[in-house]
Amino acid sequence: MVLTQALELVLTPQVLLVMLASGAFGLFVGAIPGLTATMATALLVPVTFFMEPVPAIAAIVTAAAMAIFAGDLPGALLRIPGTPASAAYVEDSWRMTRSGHAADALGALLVFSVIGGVLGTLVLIFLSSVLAEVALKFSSFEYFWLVVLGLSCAIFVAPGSALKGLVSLCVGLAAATVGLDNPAGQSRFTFGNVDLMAGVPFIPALIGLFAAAEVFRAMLAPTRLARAERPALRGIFSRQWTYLRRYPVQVLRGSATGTVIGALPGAGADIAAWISYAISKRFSRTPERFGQGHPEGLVEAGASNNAAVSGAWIPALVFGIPGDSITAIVIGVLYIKGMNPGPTVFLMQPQLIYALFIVFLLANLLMLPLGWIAIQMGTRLLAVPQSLLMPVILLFCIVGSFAITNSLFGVVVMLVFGVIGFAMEEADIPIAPAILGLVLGPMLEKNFITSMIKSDGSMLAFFERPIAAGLGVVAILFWLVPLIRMMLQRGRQVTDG
Amino acid sequence: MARRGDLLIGLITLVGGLVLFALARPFGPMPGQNYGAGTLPRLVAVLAVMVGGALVFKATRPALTGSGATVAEPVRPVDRAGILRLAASFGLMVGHLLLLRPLGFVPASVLLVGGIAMLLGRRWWEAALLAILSTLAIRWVFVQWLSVPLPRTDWLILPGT
Repeated sequence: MVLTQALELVLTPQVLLVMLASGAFGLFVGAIPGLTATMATALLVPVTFFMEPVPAIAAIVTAAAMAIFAGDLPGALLRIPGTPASAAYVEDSWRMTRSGHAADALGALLVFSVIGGVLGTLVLIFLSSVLAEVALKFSSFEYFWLVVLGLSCAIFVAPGSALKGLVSLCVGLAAATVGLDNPAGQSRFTFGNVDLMAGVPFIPALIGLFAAAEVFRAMLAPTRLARAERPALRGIFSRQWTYLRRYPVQVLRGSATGTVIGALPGAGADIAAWISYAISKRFSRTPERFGQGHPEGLVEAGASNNAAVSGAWIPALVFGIPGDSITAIVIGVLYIKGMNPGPTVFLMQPQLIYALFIVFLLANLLMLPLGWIAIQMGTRLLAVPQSLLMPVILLFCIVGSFAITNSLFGVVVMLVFGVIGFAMEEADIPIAPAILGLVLGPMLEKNFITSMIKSDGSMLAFFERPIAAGLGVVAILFWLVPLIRMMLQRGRQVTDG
Repeated sequence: MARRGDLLIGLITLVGGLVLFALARPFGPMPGQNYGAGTLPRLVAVLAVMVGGALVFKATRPALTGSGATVAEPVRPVDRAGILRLAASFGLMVGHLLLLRPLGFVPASVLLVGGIAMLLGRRWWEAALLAILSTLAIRWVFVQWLSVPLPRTDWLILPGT
């Protein structure tokens, strides 16, 4: 009966048209470097004032899901990830495109994002209350170890040596110390500049490290300016059956990891994608192929990315606690529409909650046709000579950076990080740990200091709670196992020699 | 074989860590606590010094232990034209930044896009056409659709201004 009411609320021409339009909008915004899913969501809020609750939420949910996936497109086509999560697998997707396997890469990103999103939604529907209870048990100790794990994954999966990965992490963490956003509320390294008080904005930094640095590299190396052949796109979907049969465990594992981590308020798709990519590499039979254009990492981390978006709804719907910035905006819209998220909404307005669940499923399924269109349009770009494409991409990036802060400060950050990114790449220092350090640095600091204050300086407190102890042991083993393996190998070499 | 590149990176990281540590010294702890605004910068500084030191050690270990000569990696041939293009592109971006407010978004961006396209080998009229069309299109998307307040040009009347 409630389900029938919910279906009647969703399956109307108005709701379906709104989902189609907002999905296209989300794809467009997400695909442009500098524009984010959060921005797409925020821009839709005033439009939703004039809508009924179900179409309003449908618009925002669909736009957000599309925008998150769309962030993978510039990563695969231009090596400019749209989100920090996309940076986890940008090397693989880009190299696959470059080697003529664009259909495989883009298809994998699309199909497995959909699968991850659908599986995450199913978990949301059937297990939200259970996962929400687990999420409530996460304190500063658990969050600290989760962030350490995420940063460790970024170091070990990035190409090159772990030491250089640590150098990159130091760059990101150092940049994260700038500003007022610290537990002491003291202005750090702002040198009297008002813009720096808000810290280093990570989107212009991301654009600078990848996009601006790419422009500098193109200037230095004329051979990079050859016209890129438009990739063959026959069989975008057909190849994915092969991947699904080859990597079923990876799909399920990535979806589960993404949903669980997404359910933790504040954790988000960034950590989920990196941890999933690292797990995929760790348990792969061919780890040496990661970063060289291997689809396995795309499958697992791509599923995790969109599953985390669904997971973020768990604390939002069950407790009214936003899982990420997008759900924070949507909770506001829910309140405006008279739906108070929390336990009571399941009792008082169950048909609306079921309608939301149906919208989540439909939004993820709608990603297939809209994503296919976006891929067709996006790959046409590669037929444009790079000497024409690159200046336009640069301008998009500059304007995107400007749009984040509505000031030239974003453009300055982009330029500075462009120089840093260029220098790092010339020195074979991976870029991704720097981005993750910048994004997760404040979370690391806040949870570390909160934990130390709560425990009166005792480091043992980081292992007293069971979940924290488990995460802590995993994080420590993450570092110890490769070291022990290296020492054993050296010992064996000395014995053999 | 030691790598001079690693040695340089290690030294820069080590010195960077020391500088960060020095800059973090003025930050005291929060009232009644042992931690404050200086905690994370100091931890990052210590990590940087350790990592930098490890890179320096790794780079110089063969020379120190006498197990091999310090050999530089094969030197990439210097492409003078590439370096000039790189410097010019950086100059164009800085110039764009400086001219955005005085000139406005459209003229400054036309100069940037046109300049970059010419540096990448396009003929002047191709670069000019690309610059004008792409700038106007991007402006339309961001100003009309997304309501981003791009710097205006008072003497140029465009839709939406």
